[in-house]
Amino acid sequence: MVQLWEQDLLLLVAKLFFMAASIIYAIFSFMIVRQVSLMNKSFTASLHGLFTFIAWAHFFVALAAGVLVFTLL
Amino acid sequence: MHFDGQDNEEKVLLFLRQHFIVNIKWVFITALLLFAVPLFDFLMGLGGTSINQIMPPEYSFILRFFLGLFTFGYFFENFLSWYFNSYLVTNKRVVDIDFYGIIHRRFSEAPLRNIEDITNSISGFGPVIFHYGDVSIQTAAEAREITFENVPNPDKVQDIVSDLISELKGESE
Repeated sequence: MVQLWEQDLLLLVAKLFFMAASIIYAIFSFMIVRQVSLMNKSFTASLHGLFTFIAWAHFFVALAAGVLVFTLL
Repeated sequence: MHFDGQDNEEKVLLFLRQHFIVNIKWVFITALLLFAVPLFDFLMGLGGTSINQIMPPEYSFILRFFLGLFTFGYFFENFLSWYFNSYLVTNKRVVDIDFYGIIHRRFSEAPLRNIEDITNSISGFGPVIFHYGDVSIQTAAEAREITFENVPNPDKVQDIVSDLISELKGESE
């Protein structure tokens, strides 16, 4: 009984950790999007379109991770 | 190529980044993070257990997902910092564009006519082996200094900038 309670508590802590991590990571990934936009203005180069695409893809995957955490756990 | 603030008649003569070897630390950490999960699974397998016996499968899945995402984010952020940290020499000035992390940007420039002294230094095992180092450019304006850090062939860079200054001062005299 005590073990089950401890396990529930651990899972709750893990769940809260993942929730906080997903929110912080989504903010971080959005900052990367903004930073890539700022960097692209510094000088023009052939890979800038690719960087913008990757930054936005990374942001949407981070959002998806957040959705997974809040729905799956 | 074109950079922010470039004049119409201004030409970029030299475009530099730090030597690729300076990325070795974060490339190594990325590789460690990539192999962390397979290695952990392998070690758990040797012990006759698996991560699903320690935590529920959905938690294990989220943990792996986050580790993968974090590894990619770490790689991408470091690569961008290296790629966009650049040094330019034009026919009018030297420009230093610095990005530190994702929240700091610094844009420094000095007109060629204001440059008083250029020094290059190659110091340490890595720089000597791979031939990269710093080029310090001192200007007359309020004792400012622009440093091209860890650029390949710093002696050649110094030579090119010195020649440009000589040309410019020769023209103006």
